[in-house]
This record gives sequence, structure tokens and C-alpha cells, in this order.
Amino acid sequence: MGARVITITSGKGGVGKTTATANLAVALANLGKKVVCIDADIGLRNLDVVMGLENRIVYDLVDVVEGRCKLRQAMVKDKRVPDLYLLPAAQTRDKTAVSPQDMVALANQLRGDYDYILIDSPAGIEWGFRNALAPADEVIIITNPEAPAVRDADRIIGLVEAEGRKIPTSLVINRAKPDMIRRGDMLSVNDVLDILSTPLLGVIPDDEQIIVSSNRGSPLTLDNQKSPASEAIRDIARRITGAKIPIGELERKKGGLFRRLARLFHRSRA
Amino acid sequence: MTSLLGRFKGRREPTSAEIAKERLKLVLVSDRSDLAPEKLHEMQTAIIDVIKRYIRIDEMEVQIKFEQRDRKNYLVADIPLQRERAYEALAAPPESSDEGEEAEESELPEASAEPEEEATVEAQPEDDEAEPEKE
Repeated sequence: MGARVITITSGKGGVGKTTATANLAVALANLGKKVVCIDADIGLRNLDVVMGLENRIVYDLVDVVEGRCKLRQAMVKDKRVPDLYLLPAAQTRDKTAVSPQDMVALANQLRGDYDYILIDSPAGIEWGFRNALAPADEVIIITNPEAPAVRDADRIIGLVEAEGRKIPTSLVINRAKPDMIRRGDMLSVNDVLDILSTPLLGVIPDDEQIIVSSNRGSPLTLDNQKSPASEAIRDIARRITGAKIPIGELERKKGGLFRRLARLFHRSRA
Repeated sequence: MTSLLGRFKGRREPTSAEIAKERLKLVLVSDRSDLAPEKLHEMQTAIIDVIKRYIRIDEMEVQIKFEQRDRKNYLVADIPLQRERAYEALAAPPESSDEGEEAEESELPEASAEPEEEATVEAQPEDDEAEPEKE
């Protein structure tokens, strides 16, 4: 069987899918896993920029599908970590250049050589999302604790369920602001879980360092920085590999934002 | 867990997060069932109308809500039946003007439900009969 194919999607755009994908990929690679990221957002590629690999792209996903190059040639190796590759999206092509069947075939070609294949899905529920979903063994839904993002996440969960393959789905709540949650001005983790009834994989606090890292093309999880978001993402990576890291408990041990976040989590849960 | 949240819920204005949650729950019902919000309201009215054809209900207290358990939606109806006595008490105006401040509050339509219940207790004939026994 080989690799686990994990599609990262959200429905709504701008919730932090691509950044989460890049950081998760780096975190998994840092755990000694062989990882390949596929940018499924054809026409609007961005994963390359977030990962800082944009200048090393020669071929792309559409070149592979249309037979202009071999799969290996299109894969960009991230030299900063042991085993991390990017399969970039085409920037100048239409999304219909790739079909769900192409994606399944592609994933199957890669399965034998990697531990994790992360697919960064485009926003929306149309073609690009269908492509990203087709080869998925699992789906991670990224959402923000805001009504429009939660609504779209619900729609996506429904669409994944409707796929009929019983694809395991988990939820990552991104850009949580503990102070706002405490004031009652932001949906809490439990509010979101209450509404979406989907297993929680992690909570990433809002963190300015994420933008700084995107500016630099250097994902936060690359070096073991102590930033709240990168620690949360590293925990998510460990959970993906099967480590049992309780979401509330671990966060309570840490200071500041995390402790407050954990307290809110428990307060409403009890 | 009724400490902070529970205490606040009764007293103050709902927080924006609470408003967001309620709005989300409602909009997701129509998203998931593919039924327009206006139609949902229409359906609720129709349900009440049908029930009213057979039994007397306390229409002001009727609650027809959508509830979510796991990822399934349930239509949950809470329909108090109208008791005969309660119905009579409703017709008679409640008399309680002893305390000036509270009397003003009771004029609010929202507060009308509770005084009515008190009125029904007073109107029960058993109470009158009980008094001579004590003497």
C-alpha cells in the first residue's frame, strides 16, 4: 500500500490551507518521513512560494499528466529537509487539464516510494477539489473559527461523505485567537466541534510568524522555532504519524496563548 | 458545566460568538436539507396549524427547533398543550398591584407566562376547601 494520501481542503479560500500543507509537510519530513506535496490548485499555484521552492520549478503537474516529462523530473526536492518533494501545479493552464483519474494514477505511482502524499486542494467545491479528493485516503479539513469558514467546512464534510468511500475526515481549526474566544467574540473550539461533529486533529493559534515565514519562503516548522503556530503544527504532524498527543493536555503545559486556549477548550467541554 | 457560560447566558446579551453559533446552526439546517430558510419557517407554521385542528395548544410557548446530533439533523417539537383551567385563567386579567415596581415589569408581554400559572393555582377550588380544614 505504501504512502497515505492526505488531501487538505477547506471549501472557503483564505483559511490557511496552503500554509498548513507546507508546514505539515516539513514537520512530517523532520520526523524522518518521506513526503511529497502535490499542489492541486492549477492556474493559481502557491504552495511553491510558501515552501520557497518557486525558483526551482522546471516542469509541473500538467506536464506530467500530458507526458512531456517523467514524474521524477517534475518533482522539486526541498534540500533543507531529508525527504521532501514538491509536485507543483501548472500556473498557465486551465484546471480541466487534469482529471480525477489522472490524480489517482499519479498518486498510485508515488505510493510505493513515500510515506505521505499531501495534496493541497484549491478552494471551492468544483473541478480542482474533485481532483484533490479523488486519490485521498484521508481528508483534513482546515477551518477558521468564523461563521463563513465553518459553514463551508460543513459543506465540504458533506461532499466527502457523499463520495461514499467512507474517507476518514478530521478537522484542524486554524487562526484561533484565544483572547477573542475568551471574550466570547470568536467561536470556541467546542463551538466548532459542536457544529461540525468531526474529530479534531489540532488547533493552530493565530500567529504573525506565519506571515513572516511565508514572506521568506521558509515554513515555520523548518527550524525548531518556539512560535505557537509551529508548535501546534508539529503536534499535528506527530498525531498524523500515530502519536497520542492529547490536544488539551499538551497545550496546558505551555505558556501564554496555549494555556489560555486549552483552558477555554476544557471549560466549554466539561 | 453551568458556571460561567451558564450564568452569563441568562443575564446578559448573547456574545457575538453565541450569535454566530446560533446563526450557523440554523443556516446549516437549510444547507444540509436543501430547504430554503423561508420554507423552513413555512413548515413550522403548517405543523402548528395541523396540530391546532385536533388539540388546544399553548401557541405562545410552542418551540419547533432543529437539533443536531452527530451529523444528523432532527426536527424537535416542544408543544405544550393548553389545559382547560389555564385557558380560563388566560381570559381573566391577573390582579396583583401590591408592589409598584414589579407590577410595571409584569406588564411586559414576555413576563405574562408566569403570572398566568400562578393565577391558575389560586383559581383551583381545592385551595378554598383546604383552608377551613386547617382551622
